[in-house]
Order: sequence, then C-alpha cells, then structure tokens
Amino acid sequence: MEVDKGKGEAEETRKVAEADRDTVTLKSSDGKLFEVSKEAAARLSTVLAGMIAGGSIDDNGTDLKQIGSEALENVVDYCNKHANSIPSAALISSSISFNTAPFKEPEEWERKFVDRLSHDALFDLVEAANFLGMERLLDVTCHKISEMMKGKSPDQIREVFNIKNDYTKEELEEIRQELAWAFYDD
Amino acid sequence: MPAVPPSARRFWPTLRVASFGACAFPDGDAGGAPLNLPLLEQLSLMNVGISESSLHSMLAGCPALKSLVVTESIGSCSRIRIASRTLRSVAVQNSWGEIRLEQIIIGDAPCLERLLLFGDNFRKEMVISVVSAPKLEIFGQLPALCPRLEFGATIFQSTKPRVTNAWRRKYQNLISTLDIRLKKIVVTTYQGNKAHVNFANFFVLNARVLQSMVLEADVSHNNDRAWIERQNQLLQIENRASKAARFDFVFHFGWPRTLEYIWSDQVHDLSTADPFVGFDKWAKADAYDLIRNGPHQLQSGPAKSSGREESSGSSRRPSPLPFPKPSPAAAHPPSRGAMETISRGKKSNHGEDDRISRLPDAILEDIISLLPTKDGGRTQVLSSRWRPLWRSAPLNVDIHDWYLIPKQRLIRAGEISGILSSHLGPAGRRFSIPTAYLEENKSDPAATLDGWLRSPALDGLQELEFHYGFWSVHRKPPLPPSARRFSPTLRVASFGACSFQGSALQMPLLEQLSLKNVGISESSLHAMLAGCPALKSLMLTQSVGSCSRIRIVSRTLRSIGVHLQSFWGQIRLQQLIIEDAPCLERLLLFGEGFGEQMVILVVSAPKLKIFGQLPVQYPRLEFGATIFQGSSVVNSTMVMPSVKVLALTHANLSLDVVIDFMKCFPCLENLYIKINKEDSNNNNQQVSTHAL
Repeated sequence: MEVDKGKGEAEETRKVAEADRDTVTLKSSDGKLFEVSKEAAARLSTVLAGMIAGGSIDDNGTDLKQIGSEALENVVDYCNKHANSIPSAALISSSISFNTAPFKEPEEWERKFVDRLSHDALFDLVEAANFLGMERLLDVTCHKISEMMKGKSPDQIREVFNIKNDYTKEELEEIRQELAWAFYDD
Repeated sequence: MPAVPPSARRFWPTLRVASFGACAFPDGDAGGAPLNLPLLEQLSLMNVGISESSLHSMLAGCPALKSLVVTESIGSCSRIRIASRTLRSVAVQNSWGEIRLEQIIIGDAPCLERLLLFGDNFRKEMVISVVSAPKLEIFGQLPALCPRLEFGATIFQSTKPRVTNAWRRKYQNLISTLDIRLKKIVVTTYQGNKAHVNFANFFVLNARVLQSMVLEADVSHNNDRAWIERQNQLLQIENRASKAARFDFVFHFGWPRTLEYIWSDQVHDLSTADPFVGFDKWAKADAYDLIRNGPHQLQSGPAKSSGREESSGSSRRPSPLPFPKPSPAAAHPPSRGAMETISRGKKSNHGEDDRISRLPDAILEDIISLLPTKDGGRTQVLSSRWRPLWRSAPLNVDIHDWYLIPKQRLIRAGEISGILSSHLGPAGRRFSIPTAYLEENKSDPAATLDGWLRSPALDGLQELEFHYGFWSVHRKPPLPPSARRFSPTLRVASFGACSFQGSALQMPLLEQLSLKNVGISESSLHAMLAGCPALKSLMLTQSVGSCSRIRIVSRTLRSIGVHLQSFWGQIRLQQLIIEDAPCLERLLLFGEGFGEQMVILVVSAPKLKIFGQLPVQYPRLEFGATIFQGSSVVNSTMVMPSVKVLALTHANLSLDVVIDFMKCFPCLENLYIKINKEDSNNNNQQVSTHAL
C-alpha cells in the first residue's frame, strides 16, 4: 500500500538516518508526500535510479513537479506491488528479471492494475512513467492503450480517445486508397 | 445451406484443387448437367448438402481425382460408393453433428494407397467396406468402437480392452501411504461409464488437497441436468476428501483440432506456469475464437478475455519498446516537450480532452507497433497528428494463416511489398506471413520471400516466421540470402520447409527457435544450436532434415517441444538426446507420429517441471533409469520430485497407470488426461498384422 503521509509523519521519517533508509520520499506537484522502496524505485525507474545514485534525493520529499498526486500514488503503488510480486514470478519463470527481459506480456496483476484506472488516470500514469523513465510501466500502460484500440474502426477509436478528425473528406479518401490493405470491414 | 455460387462453375474446367464447405449442390446442377471437373485432383467436401446420386455423378465427373476428403455430414447420403481408377487417398472424418453416413463402399480402387479415418463420432451402424484396393498401404486410425471395416472377408471391429479401475481392494494399503498432492485434474472425453466413474471417484475420495477436477464430457450431455446429477452421486462428490475442491463438467462444441501455433506457443511461451491450462479447450477449440482471441487466451484459461485479434501469441508479441533503442531514458527523455504538469487533476473532463494525441511520438509509435498489422496501418487516418507515426513505428507484419474469418479480409500477398516500401524502417519488429503466400509461387517461394526480406523497413528484424508450404516440403528450397542478415538481431525465428546451406547461422540473441520440416544435416543442426547461446525454447516439428539423432547441450534451454505427425512425410528422427540441459523445465510432445524406434533420452534434467503430452504408446522416454513407454511407466527407479505438471494421452482411463506416475512424480500437482478412443497405435499394429 502506498504511504500517503501527513506532515507530522514525514517529520518522523526524516529523523531516520539517511544511510539506513531503504525508502525514498517523493513529492507530487500538489505537495503530497509518498514513500517508496529505494530498491524498487531504482530498479523500475531510470530517472529515480539516476537521482539516487547522484545523491539528488531530498529527504523532505523529492520534488516531482510534473506529476500530480493521483498519478504519483499509482506509480508508488505499482512499484510496491511489483516488489511484492517478484517472489511468485520468480517461482514460475525461474530467472529473468524484469529489467533485462526483452519483452513480456503484462502479468495478470499488471493488467488488473491498469484496468481499474479511469481514462484520465491511465494517461496521467503513462506520462508519469515516461517522465520517470519506467520502461516496464510504460510497456504495461502502452499495452493497455493498444488493447483499447484493437479491432476498432477509426471512428470508434476517435470516439474512445476524443481524437478530432482534422482531415478534409478528400484527404481522407486519398489516405484510405493508399491504405487499402488496412481496411477490411468497410 | 446456400448453393454453390454460379460463378464458381466457370472454374470447373480448370480446377485442380477444390474444397467445398457448407454449401449445397442442388440436384440436376445447371439444368441437369452433371458436375464435370476434368482436371480435379483434390476434392474436399465438408458438411455439404448433396444427394446420393448427385455425389456419385460428381465423382464420376472427376476422372483425374487423386484424393478425396469427406468431412462430417455429406448431405443426405447414407451410402457412398467409390469407384475410381485414379484415387490414391480417401479420408473420412466424423466428429460432430448428425451423421447420416452409414456405408462407404470402395468398390474398385486399384490405386488406393491410403484410407484414413478421423474423429470418433462414427455411427454404430457405420460400415466401411473395401472390395478391392490392392495397393492400400496406409490405414487408420481405427476408432475404438466403430465403424466396422470389411476388407473382403477380413473384418475389423475394434474393441477396447476392459479397464474397470476398481480400486478399493487393490489399493487398500496404498491409499494410507500415498501422499496425493494433486491439485488439479482434467480429463477430456469423460464418458461417465463405470471405469471412468471409478477413476474419478478415487481422486474425489482420496486427494486431500484437490482444488479442481474438470471432466469434459460429450456434448450430448450438455444441459442434461439429470446426467450431471447422477454423475455427482456416482462420484460421491458429497464425501470428497478435499472440501475445497470444485468439480466441473464441461462440454465443448467446435472443432476437435489442435492448431499448430498453439503447440508452438506452449513450447515458446514461458510466462505461463502451466502450458496445459486450457488443455480441454485446445483439444476442442473453436477455431474462430482462437483467431479472434489468440492462443494467449487459451493458455490463461477462460477467465481472461482480452479481445486479442488477428494474431498475437503472447510470447510472439514483439517488444513494445523495441530493441535496439539506446537507453530507456534516451528513448523517452523526461525533458520531452509538451509535458506541462502531468496530472491535470480532476479538472479534465474525459468528454473533450484528447489525451492520447498529446503523448510523445515515441510512445505512440510503441502503441502502434503493438497493434495487429491492419489496425496499426489504419491509425494513419485518425488525424493528421497520427499520419506520420505508423511509418516510423517499428513494423509489425503479422498475418494469420487463416482465410475463413468472417468480415476480415486478410492482407493479400500482393500488398506486402507496398506495406514494406511505404514504411521507413529501420526497426523491423516482426515479419510473419501465411504459408499460402509463399505457396503462390510454387516454383520458387524462396525468391518471393527474398524479395520481401530485402526491404530496408525490416532492418534489425527481431522476429521472423515463415513456412514455404506443403509443396516445398519435399524440395526444401534454401533459406533466402537476405534472411541471414537478420541473424544478429533475431530473437524469435521459425523456419519452415527450407534447407540450410553454407555456414551455420550465428544468432546470438535468439531465444525462440522453431524448425519445421527443414532440411538440415545432423552436423549443421548441431552447429546452428551451438550458435544460439541465448536459446530458451526449441520446437522441432515434423521431420528435421536427415537427422536421425539430435543431441542437445544447452545451459539456457528451458523448453523443448517435439511435434511429429506422420502424414507430413517420413520421419527420420529416432533419437533425441538431451545431454546437458540444467535449465530444462518443460518437455512437450505433440502428435502421434512417434515411431516404434523413437527414443528420447534425458541424461539429466533436475528442473523438469512440465512433462507431456505423452502419447499412447511411443516414444520411449528414458530419464536415467526411469523409463516411460508412451503414457505408461515401465520402470520408475528414479523418483522425480521436480515434475509438477503432467499430460497424458491414454487409450483407456487407467488408474493403475496414473498411480504409477504418481509414484514416479510424487509432487505432481496438475494432471491432464486425454482419452484417445481411437488408440491408433494399437490398431495400426493390429491392422498391419492382419492385412499383410
């Protein structure tokens, strides 16, 4: 579970000597603090890994001005779930770590994790994952978005994502002719 | 049943191969003129509507016919009489639906070499009588009970050896000592007869940690509450040893076929803990669902329905963040523009906001390349923002070998060049095309493939899958030169009906390799395997060149699959020796083409977890001193506690055999048993002794 600490608790956390800390505190654009395992953060996010290695982690809460609290909560939640899921995954497919694997389909829990998100929360999460350089989370969220597009007509896709069709009728016809191979059911 | 379209008739004079499905041939076709197909060599009739007399006149109108496949119901014909001086092969398949056919009489067939029977839904009254077939060589599979076959005065009526599975007295002592750890048992073709009830009942009453037992019964019992109720009573479900266990009767409609790519997925997809989840499904999978949902769904069981379409085996999905991209941070630099504050908080009303189009190009390209080929291409019409993206997204050409999907026109072979040339590359992710596209150029499929593979759009290709097709199986054209250039980047490769010449391919990143009907010498194969230091899974399908013996030494291999089916031609493979495979977790066997001499020898596989599906009789498997002959244990001196999942094909549901396996694999958790009513091997033997 994510830790959404109030100010008082954050003070507590700060007292712990830096060397002993195995978590990092992240601060959302709207000033909320979240704590996440240092190991998981470094493993899942290239950006956080760089910050941890470079010593630019702020114990009072590293400012992530681009990420809102809702998205950051999901990021932290994902990291924690990921850390927890590793033992079981390792049991099943003995070795590969998530980072080195070329690609793996989202696991069941990852699917569920993104399935429960609202449309906006999903995109907030994609952007946060991109900002933090979280390859695996990007895989999972991109996969979810592609699932939302699969098998749909362009009109249906535009409706789902509110994409505005800015082509003229003529332009559209021209592209469709060029792409005859891509249209099968109309 | 709709009639054959009139336009099809114009092909009658030129057709060489014809397959008609679910269409009607009205009597007195075309005003009384009988069907006349002077050049026709192959004819398949599947669920057609035709009268007995029309069928006979149709056959009479095919003077060059070499092979005939008759599937399911054939109109109202209760009797088919075949007299042909050219026919070399006749196959009859019955598996579902009402079957009217009662008699097939092969009156005079001087060239008939094979008579093949598939399926197990033959009528009790069914008789196949062969009056004269002096050249008959291949014959099978005889179903267990019917039909009756008559060769002149030689009559076959197969019967089952009696298995009662009466266990109470026999295993009285054993039960108290045997620690049954089974959690899941799946039995297909459960018949609910006494022997089957006894078998299931043993586990109901004694398996203390059982979680689920799935009994797949004949479709005729679907919704038959009384039957299910009665079975529940017979099995004494109320008295089950494991109170938590679930018991399910399932019924499947659809085609009792296993499709090859599902087999491949079981070998290559290592992300699933148990490849046989959905065992009952893939035994009788609905082909249409398969295509729509992809094999992935079958593997993860019915719970997951992630509307996958067109292609996409889980392991076959190319990477969304494709290799080779510099570093993740460089691929999506956090500084990439248009990223004000990420959370627009709660303000954004999803009614108006176009969030997706604002994502950076690199992410949209990843999303596009995850889409099926056509869906990916079509993103160009969404809006001008999307227009240039597909062209630079990693190219994913993945077209299925399936023509009969309603409403889905496949990308045509002729369109592939256009797709390749309109794409910029250079980050080819996947190139997988239907066999049929290469078959179009019968004389030189390698040239067709070569033309496509030269495209710069495919530079750096990660996944390549092709099969030259049936016509090339014997000739085995070479691997096109252009394919070799991908060897440094390939992660997934499936080669079909091609031969390998020259120096062995070095594929340093290759993780999945399938070799199907390939032409390769023993030494070249071993050199190729040695050149794949990252190989995780290996699928050997049908014949593998002239290799009679394959020796495997790999510290990375986790899965090996062997699929042999004899109708694909002669199988030379006699010995597969897994000499050193410390990571081997699964050993999967498919098909019934394992010959009498076939031996699989595993010297050491300490991690073997998943094992099956052991065919009825062959091959012989040796793990050290533990020996299996098909799906029974000969000698189990070596106990193998690593094995958790076992799949068997049984001639009969025999408790004795399963108990032997439990002694050999004391930690077995999931057990799958498919009852092979035909018991083909036994019968083929029986036949060969009778007939020759």
